[in-house]
Amino acid sequence: MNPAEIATSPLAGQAAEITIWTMFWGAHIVVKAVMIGLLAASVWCWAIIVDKTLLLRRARRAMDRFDENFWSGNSLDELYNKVSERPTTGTASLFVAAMREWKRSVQNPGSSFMGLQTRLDKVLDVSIGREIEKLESNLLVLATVASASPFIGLFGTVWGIMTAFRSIAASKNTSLAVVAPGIAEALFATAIGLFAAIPALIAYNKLQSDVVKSQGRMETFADEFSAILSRQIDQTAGGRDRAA
Amino acid sequence: MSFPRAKPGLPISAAAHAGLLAATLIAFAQAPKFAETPETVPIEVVSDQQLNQIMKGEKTARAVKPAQRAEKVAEQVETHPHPPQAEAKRDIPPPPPSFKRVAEPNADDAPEKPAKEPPTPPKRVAALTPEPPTRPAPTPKPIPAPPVKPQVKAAPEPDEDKPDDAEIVKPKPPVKPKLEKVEKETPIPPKPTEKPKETPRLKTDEVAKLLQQKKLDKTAEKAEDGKEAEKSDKPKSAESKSGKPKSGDESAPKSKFSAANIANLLSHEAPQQRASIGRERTQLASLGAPTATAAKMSPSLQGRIDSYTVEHYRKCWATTLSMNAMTYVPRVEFRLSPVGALEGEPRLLNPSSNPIEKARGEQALAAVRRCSPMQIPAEFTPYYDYWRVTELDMKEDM
Repeated sequence: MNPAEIATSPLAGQAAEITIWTMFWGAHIVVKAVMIGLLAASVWCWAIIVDKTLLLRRARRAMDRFDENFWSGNSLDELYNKVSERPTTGTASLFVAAMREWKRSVQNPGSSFMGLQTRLDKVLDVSIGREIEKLESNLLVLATVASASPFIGLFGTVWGIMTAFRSIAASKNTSLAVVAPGIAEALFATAIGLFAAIPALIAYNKLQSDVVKSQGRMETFADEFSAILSRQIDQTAGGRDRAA
Repeated sequence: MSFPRAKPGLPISAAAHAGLLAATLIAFAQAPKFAETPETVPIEVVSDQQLNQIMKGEKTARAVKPAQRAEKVAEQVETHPHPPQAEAKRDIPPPPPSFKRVAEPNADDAPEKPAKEPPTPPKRVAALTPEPPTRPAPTPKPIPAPPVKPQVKAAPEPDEDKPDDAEIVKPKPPVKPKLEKVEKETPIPPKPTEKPKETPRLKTDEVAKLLQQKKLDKTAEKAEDGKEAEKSDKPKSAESKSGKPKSGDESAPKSKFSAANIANLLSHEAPQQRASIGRERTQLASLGAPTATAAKMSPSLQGRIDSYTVEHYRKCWATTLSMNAMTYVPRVEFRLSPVGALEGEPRLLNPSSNPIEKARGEQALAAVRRCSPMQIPAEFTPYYDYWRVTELDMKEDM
């Protein structure tokens, strides 16, 4: 339903009626700007929330699938060939990065195994950081909106009440019927601020904890994989020594 | 490595907000109104008992602040402070309303006169002669005066003036303008000034006129001095009124004063009480007499009122309620004004749906209306509260 129609319909058209639309339309320009800004922030927040939720869910599912494959007992080379065909996420990308580094070192006969373990750890760390950065990007927006929008809304309210009182002083009429619309308009700004802030705060905490959980999972995987590779390095190095 | 970038967040969020906004617009289209609650008004309950005892004083009444009693509001008179005046020399009579501005040029000329005294006198005389019709008085007075009292009272006056005024001014006590004083010393002012004052009572105007016509020479000398003095002192008053201006000076009131005349000065109106006046009237609330009691209604009086009312209306309904319906006794309520007239419409308290009973009820109401202005005996009037609302059971056999 078109808001303008509602505002002008006879149902809401009475002068004393205060609809959401008239509250917005009657507000001071600063308050209007605050309201619009807060509404935009809310829209943005919800967009981030939806995106991040989906992203985290997909990442978790992908990690589950990869864990299944990883611990299924297949050889690492096979797994690498299979996984590296598609873009990876989460632990899969860790695996791919580490295996690439491993293969580079192993396939090159001249290279020594001395620093390989360190390089692998580095590569795994970097990959974890990249994955985490991907997961928690934009989460700070939620935190900012959650903490700032109540204040912005309060600013709009204070400004609105200020103008309301000024017009009260000008009209020299203090009856509640005169005071009420201005204050209702002003309070509307705080309402929008809270409307934006509360979901943002909740979602931020939830998503942040999810990201931390994913990070922990990736670190665990990195440690395990690093141990496996270390064993491989030792075996390969022993073989080479024997061969030599 | 790159995750498939499906980012449905923004459209979803925007759509959700739009939907939510629309929902709130619809939901808040009408703000629910509060239940209409009548404004509370502080009410003090006054019982019938208290009303009947209304003459009785109230012991807890607020004490009236003692204040000066005022029965009349004082008229507010604006008093303007008088501008400080220069030292008043007592000879000066207040300048009379400007009658002749024309005369002033003469006064203005005054400074010139003394410079050349001898030539001026003739001119003056000539100038004066045409005037007589307008002001016969001034000229005659100076003339007769000299013979009679110049010496007599000229003496005392200078004496009086000397102590008051500065020595320089001595010769001319009456002359106020300071410019003239110095210049007029040459003529002998004291004598001429005295003359005019005394003359009016002693001599008639006729003599003055005769003398004026005949003797221009003498007038030239004396009248001039006198006139000049007069003009300078009180140019207008002297000319307009013959006798009074001169007597207006110090000597006049003294001579007129007598103790016997005091009575005339007093008001002839009978003395009467004058209301004390103040800025605002003191309003004293009546607190009632502390010992007084209003009449109380006794049970017997109550019975009398009841029976009186029933008797009064029975006449009407006994004849009207002819229809036989013993089972139904219409009960009518109505209000009476203090003089016994019907106030508003009578009301049937037990209306019935039975057509016969309904008709009977209508008849009862009609009976009340017909009998309505009820004579209220004087003894009932104080208890209006009691019989203001009356309920009647219209039974046949009462």
